[in-house]
Amino acid sequence: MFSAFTFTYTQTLQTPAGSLQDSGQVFTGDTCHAGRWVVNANGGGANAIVEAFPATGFQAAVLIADVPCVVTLTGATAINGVATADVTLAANVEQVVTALTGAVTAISVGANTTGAGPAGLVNLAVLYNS
Amino acid sequence: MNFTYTQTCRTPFGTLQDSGKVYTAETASVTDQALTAGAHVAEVIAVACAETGFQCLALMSDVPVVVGAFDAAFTDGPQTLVANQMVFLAGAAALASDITNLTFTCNNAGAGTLKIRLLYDPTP
Repeated sequence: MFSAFTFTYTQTLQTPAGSLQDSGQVFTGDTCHAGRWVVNANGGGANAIVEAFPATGFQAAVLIADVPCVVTLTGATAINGVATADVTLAANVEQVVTALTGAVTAISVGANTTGAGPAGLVNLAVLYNS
Repeated sequence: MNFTYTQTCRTPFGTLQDSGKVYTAETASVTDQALTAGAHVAEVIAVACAETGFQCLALMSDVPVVVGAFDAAFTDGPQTLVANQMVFLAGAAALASDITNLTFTCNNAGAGTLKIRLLYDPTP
């Protein structure tokens, strides 16, 4: 039996004149998975992660880390319309990928990009139609 | 002045929510542009800022509308808004030049409101 999974992405902007909150964008797919991986302290090596998802049928991916780092989606040739395989994360700021070119065959989690910065964790959730 | 931009994603595994990114500048521009029912083509909204002082811009409307920059200042071109979904542009890469005016284009059965929130430094 077919099951649909959803991601609901919402944005909020607080301003001196009040808040804007959108009603959310819903992404639907038949396959989703998630992982949480270690980001090494600054100066450490990258961590190679066994993870794969296709570009065909791709719906959305969400990444967030508690320390600044760069996550490389090996195999990707463009992310959100920009020719790159890297997602640069600031600490505790979410990055949402809604457009992907090139199937992802592995993930590399780079070390903390801040000098002398500690180790941390990065979360990824991905949704696609298989 | 501060704008705080926060994103949340609910997934089957739980909710990922960030702590919010704070943008700071001297000037905030708040515009609620009425969109009357019917067709509008590249109608001008008086909103402007220099590219060098630009911090961020939020656009949200309760009816579908396309928002452009009169001088093609948006790097990605006109922004197509789905009803009640925010488009958020931030950082120098979002603009290709100064914004001298915004424009809106739509053809809706009902009236609506386009909310524009702009944060910038007028003299960076």
